[in-house]
Formats: sequence, structure tokens, C-alpha cells
Amino acid sequence: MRVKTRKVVVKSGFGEDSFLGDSSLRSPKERPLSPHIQIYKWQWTMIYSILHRLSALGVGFIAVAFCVIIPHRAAVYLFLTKRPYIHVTAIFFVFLAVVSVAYYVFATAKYMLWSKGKGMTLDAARRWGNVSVLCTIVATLGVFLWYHW
Amino acid sequence: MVSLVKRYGIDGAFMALTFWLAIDKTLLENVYGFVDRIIILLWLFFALIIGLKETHSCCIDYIASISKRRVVMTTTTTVCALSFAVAVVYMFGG
Repeated sequence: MRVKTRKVVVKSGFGEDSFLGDSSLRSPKERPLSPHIQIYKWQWTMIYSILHRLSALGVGFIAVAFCVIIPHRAAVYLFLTKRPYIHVTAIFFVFLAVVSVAYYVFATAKYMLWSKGKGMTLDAARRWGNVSVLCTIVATLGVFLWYHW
Repeated sequence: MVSLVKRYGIDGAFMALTFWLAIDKTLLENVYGFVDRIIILLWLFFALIIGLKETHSCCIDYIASISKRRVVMTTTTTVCALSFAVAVVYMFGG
């Protein structure tokens, strides 16, 4: 009696086109991407959120600088004297201080609006983010012009 | 309740004091009066709390293991006390 044998090919699932197959040996550009990575993109609201966090850190840094590094008379001189800047570092510090405080104030106003349940759609969130940035620019220019020129 | 105080209390007070400082130009010049010192002390106090609170939030975001409620409350209380002490020493010390 003749027994028919059949060649059986067991597929492991790790073929050339599979996720764990030879693709791991390819160059990074040729490897398949996870599905959510392919549709991932930066949103304006993410940028505004990061800016809010950075501005809060800036506010804290300014307070620490005032309390620890800068003597009080020097702080008053730096912020109130007409054209007090003797070095570009002083200009940069004052600019960072004003921008951080201004953006934190206006972004916090936006967050308070959100906590009331208003402006929660994506378009509205982006619009309010733009408004907070615009207000920051205007406030920074206004403070510089009013105090120093 | 705590989150409401953090949001509306600290941030609201900081915003109000910031607007006051921005509008009242003579406040910083006459800083040697007692009331002026108190106002600037409070502004520094709230600014320190905001900065340290945000640093703390960054730590919680990236180190999930410390985000237990008891640790958060202890850290927040310590931060507040430390901030107030630093601001008092700065405005009234020396």
C-alpha cells in the first residue's frame, strides 16, 4: 500500500512582510509604522499647552531669580529705570520675564473659560489659543513701551 | 475642592496682582511702604507656587510612581510653606 505524503508548509506568521519578520532587519525608513503613528500630527492646542507649561516654569524661575539671585534694588533698577540695559543678557531676561508672565496670565484666563465648559471644540480651542498669543504680544509690547520708552 | 482652590485661588490671585502691578506703575518705586511690600510679597509667593507646582506636575507626568495622593499633598504643602518663607525673607529680611 502506498501512502501518499504531502509536503506541509507551516506558516509561522513571521514571513518577509510580517511585522516581526525580516522587516526588523530593514533600514528604519522601510520598517512598517504603527497605525496611530501614521495619522499622528501636531495640533495647535498641543503647542499652546506646552507653551503654557513653559511659561509657568518661566514664572517660577523669575520668582526664584528675584528671591535668590537679584537683590531688590537691582530688580527695581532693571525693570523701572529708563533704558537700564547695559548688557544684552539684561534685555533678554526682561523680555523672557514679561513674555512668561503675560502668556501665563492670558492662557490661564483661557483655561478658566474652558473650566466653565465654553470653547471646548477644536476650532474654538485653537481660536482662543491664537487670542492668548495675540494678547501676549500686545501686552509685551505695551509693557516695554510704557515702562522703558 | 483643592483643585478649585489651586485653579481659581492661586491663578486668580496671581492674575489680579499681575494686572495691578502692570497698571500701578508707582507701586514698585514706592516698594518700601508696608502695603507695597505685602503686595509684591504675595505676587512673588504666588509666582513661586505656580512655578514649583508646574515643576511638580512635570515630575508627576514623567514619574508616575510619585503621583500618589498623599505624596502630592505633602509636596504641595511643603512647596507652599517654602515659597512663603522665601518670599517673606526676601521682602522683610535684611
